[in-house]
Amino acid sequence: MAGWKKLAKSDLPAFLAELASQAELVVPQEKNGKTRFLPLDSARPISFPSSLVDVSLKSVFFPKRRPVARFGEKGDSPSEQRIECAAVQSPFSPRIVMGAHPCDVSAVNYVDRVFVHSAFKDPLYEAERNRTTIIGMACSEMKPECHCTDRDLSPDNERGMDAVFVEAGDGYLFRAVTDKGAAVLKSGLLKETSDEPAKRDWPRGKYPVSPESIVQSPSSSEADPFWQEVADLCLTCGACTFACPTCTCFLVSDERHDGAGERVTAWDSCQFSGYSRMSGGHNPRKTKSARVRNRMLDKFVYTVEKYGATSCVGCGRCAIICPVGRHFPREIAALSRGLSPLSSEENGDCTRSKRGLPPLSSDENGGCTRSPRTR
Amino acid sequence: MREEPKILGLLCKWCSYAGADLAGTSRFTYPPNVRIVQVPCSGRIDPVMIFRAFSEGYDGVLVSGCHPGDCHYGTGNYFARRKLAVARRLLETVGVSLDRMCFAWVSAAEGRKFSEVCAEFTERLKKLGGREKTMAREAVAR
Amino acid sequence: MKELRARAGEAFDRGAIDVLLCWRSDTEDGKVKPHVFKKGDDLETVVFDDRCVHNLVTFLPEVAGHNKKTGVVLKGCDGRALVTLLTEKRLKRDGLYIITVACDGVKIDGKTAAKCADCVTSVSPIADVVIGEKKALKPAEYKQLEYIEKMKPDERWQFFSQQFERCARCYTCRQVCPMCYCETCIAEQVGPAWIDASTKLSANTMWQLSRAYHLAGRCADCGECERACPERLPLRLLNAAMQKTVKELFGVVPGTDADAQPPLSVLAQDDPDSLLEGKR
Repeated sequence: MAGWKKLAKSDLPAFLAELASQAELVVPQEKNGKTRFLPLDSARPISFPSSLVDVSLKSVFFPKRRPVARFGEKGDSPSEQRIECAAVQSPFSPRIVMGAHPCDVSAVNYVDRVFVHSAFKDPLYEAERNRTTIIGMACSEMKPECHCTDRDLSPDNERGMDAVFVEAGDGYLFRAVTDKGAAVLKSGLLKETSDEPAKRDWPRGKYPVSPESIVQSPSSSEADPFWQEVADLCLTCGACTFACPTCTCFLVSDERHDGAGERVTAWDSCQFSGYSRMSGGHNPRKTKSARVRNRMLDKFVYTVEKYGATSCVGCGRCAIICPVGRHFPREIAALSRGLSPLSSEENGDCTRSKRGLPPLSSDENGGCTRSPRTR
Repeated sequence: MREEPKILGLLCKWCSYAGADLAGTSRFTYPPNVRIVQVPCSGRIDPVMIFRAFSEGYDGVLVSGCHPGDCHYGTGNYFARRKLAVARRLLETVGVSLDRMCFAWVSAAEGRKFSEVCAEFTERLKKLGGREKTMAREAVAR
Repeated sequence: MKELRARAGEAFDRGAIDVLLCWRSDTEDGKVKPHVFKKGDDLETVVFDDRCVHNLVTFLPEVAGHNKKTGVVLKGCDGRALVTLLTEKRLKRDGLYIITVACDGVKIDGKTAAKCADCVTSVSPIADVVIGEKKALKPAEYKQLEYIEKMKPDERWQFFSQQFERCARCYTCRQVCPMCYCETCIAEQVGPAWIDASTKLSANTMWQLSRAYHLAGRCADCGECERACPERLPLRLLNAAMQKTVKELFGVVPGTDADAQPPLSVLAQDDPDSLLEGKR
């Protein structure tokens, strides 16, 4: 790994212009009230948030609507007419994403397991990833909902980045992590330096979860009242799935008009009531409680089984976006500890004990006493 | 830009569709711009169908049913009147001019009236202009 | 708030309610959240102040379905939604114990919510208990529509198409809305698919128009759709246009009259034909 190079703050616009001349440059910018990763637009002010970017990096590699094939009638005379169908190709031109924080980069690495390293490879996604160099950014602070330190990450983690930079006093410190990253840090504006970013101790323990404890928790079974308590106050609106950088459920739709059309992938959500509805009408996850349970277990148990990693990166966007104040990270920590979903460090296991219900045991299943309520 | 306006006609089976049929058998001429879709009753028309027509690139929508009081099912056209009155205001809010919708009560005996309604509406739309000014569907790359 | 807590405690004690759907204060993140209080819960966390933006009526049918006697605390706009739901027979009146607290407006991001300028009633039109004084209010004016009404059709389409393009089709607006309860939403129907599933402009336009139309004469202007939208679309504009239309054409303000019939499903034989001809 190379040493650090320094960029003066006043040189930032020129450095970005240099990068933009080599490749399509994507940076966090504010649009419609939120910071998002967008192609560099000099009309918008440039600023790199010191912590979470409001809208995740997900749509850069996996857009909300993505044509995968186009079909149409070709040929002029009736004897020549035929339907042609062609897969959409990635542009293959180089692209640089700059300013992605460790949570978002870790999320992209997780999504790679789904779309690149699994049995079914998505060629469009792979091409988008291969043409992109990621210059990540270390955070200078953790926002109230941030809990990446409880997800095997930290605000200055470099995993998955090609290069990294961090705000340091009157400038930025850059460092290459991979060869791909070194290739984009050749600018004369970056000066060799012996400066190093200050090492920091980041707090942890806000919303800890261990996947084993979830599997063992008696609350994990579908009939447990934990899920109805959560579902009572959840709208299964799907906002959390759209905000989450590792939620990648999608549907495939053929859209036709006048003899031509496109096959597209579009974002879907396991929280939608029709998500698992099949022809004939059967729906194995008809109830809200089934759907909320599915999402929680998927993030921390099923993805470990399938892809070898939990898919939560601790960005906290789910808690920020929820319109009715559900706090998914807090709930999953409560589940992991065998408590009811509204428990927290401060109020403890308030709801169950005050209602005269026995606490849930988090030892072996046999040791627990279940709530007499059935729903 | 399309020169000829594309019009969707939603005609109730019992009165208006029969009226259109009569226009044909009586040899009244009228422009071919209206594409007719038969519905059992004007009350069956869901404004979503009208929204869909405009988003598919149609320049205008013609809705026709039995005269109030003469609905084959008794009351369907009363419901249609209210629903369509609200729907046209919603379309107007988003920029689809009120002139792009035409409502006519046409009975089974009014063949001539039907042909006149079609001719008038087609002329009106020609003056209003082409597809770019409506909710044109995105062109799909061929 | 003291009176609210006292009344709630009293209702639990004499068995008038099994649960109370209300808001609780959450000291950990300083927010105020909808909560289902059960008998024996600490009612000190019950709160009613200008942070109580949520429309609890969205949760009500399911909570009332699980409990014999459900208490609920409502603001004015929430109450209008409940009136319409009762008219549509979505849920039953008996089994509900309605406490309404006079509302002075709610805050979003520290400022009074835009919807409060169009407030039609500061207390729920239907209630068992009324806490506070009902305010005398002017009829709603929907000033935000003036900007749109000044535009020519092409300009309006340019404005709205730019907004519709940003829609992510997350359906958060639908899920927070108390009036959206179809088991299979029109957006999910596939045979035929009236509304295509992806986010292209024509499909987004179909979704926005269909939802606004399906709320005509029913929307209580609680504003939750706009607050909850992750893309911050100006959703109230379309709903306001529908409210203004329904008021001008039929004299109806949804949810204010418990005996009124829903305007679009009532048999109206005496409507004038000018409904279909009038220009604004």
